[in-house]
Amino acid sequence: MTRRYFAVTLVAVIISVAVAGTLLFGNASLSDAELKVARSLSLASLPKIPPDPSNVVADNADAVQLGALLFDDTGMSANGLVSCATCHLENRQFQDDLQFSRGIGTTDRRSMPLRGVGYQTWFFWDGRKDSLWSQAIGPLENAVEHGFTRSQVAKHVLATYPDEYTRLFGPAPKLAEIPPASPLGNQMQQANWQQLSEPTRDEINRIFVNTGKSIAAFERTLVPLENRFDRYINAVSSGQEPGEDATLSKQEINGFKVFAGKGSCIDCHSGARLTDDFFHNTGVPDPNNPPSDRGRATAFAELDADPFTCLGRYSDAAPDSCLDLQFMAREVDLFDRTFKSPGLRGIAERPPFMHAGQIETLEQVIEHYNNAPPAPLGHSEIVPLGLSNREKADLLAFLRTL
Amino acid sequence: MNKFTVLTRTILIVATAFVAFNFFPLALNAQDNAVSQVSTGEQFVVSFTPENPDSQRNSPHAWIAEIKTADGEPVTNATIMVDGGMAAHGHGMPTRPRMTENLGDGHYKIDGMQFHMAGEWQLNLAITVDDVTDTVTFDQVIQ
Repeated sequence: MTRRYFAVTLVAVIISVAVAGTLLFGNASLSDAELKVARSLSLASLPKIPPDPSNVVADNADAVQLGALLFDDTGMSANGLVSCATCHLENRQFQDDLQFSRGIGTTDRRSMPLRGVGYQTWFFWDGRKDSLWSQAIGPLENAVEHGFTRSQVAKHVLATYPDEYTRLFGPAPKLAEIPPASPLGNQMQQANWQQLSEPTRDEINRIFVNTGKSIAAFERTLVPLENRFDRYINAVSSGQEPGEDATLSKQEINGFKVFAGKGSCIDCHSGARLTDDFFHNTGVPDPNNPPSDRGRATAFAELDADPFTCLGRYSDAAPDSCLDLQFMAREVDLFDRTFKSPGLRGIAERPPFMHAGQIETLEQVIEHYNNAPPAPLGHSEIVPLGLSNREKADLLAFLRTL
Repeated sequence: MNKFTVLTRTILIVATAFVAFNFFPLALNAQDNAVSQVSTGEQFVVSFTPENPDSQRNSPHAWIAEIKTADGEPVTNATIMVDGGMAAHGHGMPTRPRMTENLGDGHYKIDGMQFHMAGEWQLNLAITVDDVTDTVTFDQVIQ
């Protein structure tokens, strides 16, 4: 009888301790299934960078070298002060910490970090470009970014990097005296473009594109960096005790569980780059009144009109390898005010957030998803999460490990 | 059985349940994907599988539809329309797949399949033969 009492008491005590422990600290270990999900978000799951058949120099070492020079070259701007690196700063995760970027003027969307950009399918927040090289030449001719024209880019590149260019792309044509000319420029630049012969336009376009292809080759080398979460997952999955720089607190582990569970963050922020590379309307506010940015919905017409896509004459890809463009979903209504899910690596260190930097802190981002307000335009995909204050704090702690 | 044994057993069961619930959460959905299905109007027996099982789910890739009559004869002159979505999330596919090739012997290539989220997808095939259309839906767990 005494032994029975003892056994009963012992079991009761164990249960009480377990319950109390769980209530106080939560369950901070990962089950096998949770570890599998966590691993899918870690660098261990990052595949090899996909080839870019539309860019024949995508993985060419000389192009990487030339691209690195071009990336920092302020000579490709209207005032001689703006380069790619102006808004994509290497020591700031290749973004600029600003709500709106500043080149010749001010942009209307936030600059995006570049690590892992070579894995993407669609470029810019609205995916209006389908290759990294085509993305890279966009800002050069944007009036508020570099404010340059393609004829000026072509002349600058041939004059500044003649040997590098020739080694990669063969003998360059001699460009006659050409005034600043671009089909996308101001009235005078467009008029100048109209006056050029078709072969001259083609020569300029080709040099312009090769400039982008070299920059893209460089940008493909900007791989995602290992973070504390990666190190923790590596240690745990190989059965080792996480080292000093690889520990996650119970709160951070609980935050991962919110991320992958009740928070549904993983629905769109999946894989080793923590993005699905797709477009979603999450009801984020529009800084413009009335709201005007329709995101992906306006990208389809731009892709159709763009000579620099995978299917265009300046692409090195066979048309039947341009699967993303060939099978693209393109219903304007469905994509109203959708924007690309950004990857979340390093996210805590680069406020402000969203496509227009309209949310200042990560706490406010979590509040936004928890509340799920209606979209200013189109239809928001998210629903209120009902996270407790503790779950929100845990989620924030987890995001800071990335 | 005296009351202490009952109490001990009850406590042990509760304890086991507690431990199981807290330390071994439900595993990911491991439901088997259906291999072949009969169409709604019972016109066809259809299978629908990835052309290459190693394809990346979030890049456009091809699937193969195999269509037979109820008697097991291959249907060689079908036209197939495909769409899909996740009912649980209320969204469709990130691509617009289409039939790109009749491979003969009742096999058809559907290219442009892509899944931007893991989980349970519904894949709808509308199969038309001689102006008669029948449909079939596959519930497919994509990992």
